[in-house]
Amino acid sequence: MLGKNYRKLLKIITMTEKEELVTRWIDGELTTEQELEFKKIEELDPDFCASFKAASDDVREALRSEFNSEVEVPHGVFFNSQIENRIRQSYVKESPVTGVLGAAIIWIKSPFTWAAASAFCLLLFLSNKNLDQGIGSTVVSTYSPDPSVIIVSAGYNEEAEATVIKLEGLERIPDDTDFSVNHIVSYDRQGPPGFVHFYNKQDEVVYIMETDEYGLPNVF
Amino acid sequence: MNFSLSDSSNEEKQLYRNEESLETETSNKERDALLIERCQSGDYTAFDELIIVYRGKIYAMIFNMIRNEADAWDLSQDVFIKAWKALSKFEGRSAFYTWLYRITHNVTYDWIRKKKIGGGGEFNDEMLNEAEPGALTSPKAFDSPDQNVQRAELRNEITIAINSLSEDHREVILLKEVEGLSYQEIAESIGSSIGTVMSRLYYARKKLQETLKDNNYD
Repeated sequence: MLGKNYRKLLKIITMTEKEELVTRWIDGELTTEQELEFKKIEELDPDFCASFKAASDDVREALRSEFNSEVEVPHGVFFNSQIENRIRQSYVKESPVTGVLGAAIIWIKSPFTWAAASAFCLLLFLSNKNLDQGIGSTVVSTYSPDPSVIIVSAGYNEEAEATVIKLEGLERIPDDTDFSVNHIVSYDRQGPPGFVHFYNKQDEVVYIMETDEYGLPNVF
Repeated sequence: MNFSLSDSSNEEKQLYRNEESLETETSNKERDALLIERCQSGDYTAFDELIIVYRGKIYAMIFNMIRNEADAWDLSQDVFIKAWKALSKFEGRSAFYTWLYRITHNVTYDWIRKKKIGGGGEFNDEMLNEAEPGALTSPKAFDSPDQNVQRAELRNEITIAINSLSEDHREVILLKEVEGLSYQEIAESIGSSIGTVMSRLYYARKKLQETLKDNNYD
């Protein structure tokens, strides 16, 4: 009795055992044992259960009329791209830039990714003039994200039928490195501006490159 | 109001709905498990898919708590960024969305603490100024303008009433009544016990019932 008066004095709203059972019943949270107890209450005081349920239903209906459980995010595509961008930026800030990147960076799996980054930076600056670097290509400008990595030479190699870029400064690649997983076989371009995802033959993302509105890579 | 406490036909319908929702829940869990496995092996596109699946719920939940679209948009991104970084630690002991709601809870509370917006039973003018009552809901079609006015007034009252709750009570009542989470799921999301969930729920319902009673809502 003293406890009840004390609660009244403090105007604390507390639940009685009966109210707890009825609340659980309304919310469909009765255990098997509690169901039996509730049945007794229902038989003894059906009006209490009914009025309690009615009041709770009114609250639920009012809340659901005002609040949504799901709302389409404004600018959904941009929303997603911002998340990806912020994740990438956070890893750039956290990881020291070296020839071999930390395991935390999901899309950078081997030292050759930096080579690929350099290569793509170069490729996008190529023109069709014939100069001493090679037939059909001219290296106009170079950029390496890692200043300790030097681009020694770049040019078209006839035997390889590809542009070959020689780099210095990368960490030694272990002999048992499987390069095939980083061999890019396809890509998926979003935008521009946006991202280009490069995939290996296992359809795994090997590298992600951000591009500006002209389709050129954003370097940072 | 007429209804039967033990209506067998309603119980059958309820059972069917529960079975249906159980099937959907199971397939959602399977979908999430597959996507998470891909994420954990480094596939960001899988995470992109997860974002698409859950961003609407996360955004709605945060907006319902803080009533500001721009901040809800930013905080929703924070949730997914934190989720990505913590995904390697997700072991699947709880449902993914419960785990995501836990992060949402932490992000939202951190923001609220920083903003120093508190309920605690006292009405906060700042929150009302930022609130956009009914902004994301379509107005219901009623028969008469008087009813529309009455509904608008009631929505305003509900918004004021819910904003007057502390964030603890507000969060629980929203997770229960709007998101439809179970006691266990709510407890996991907010990092509390089921007892705490029930007591907060009870208090919040009582306060809101008083508001509805004052407005003769039925």
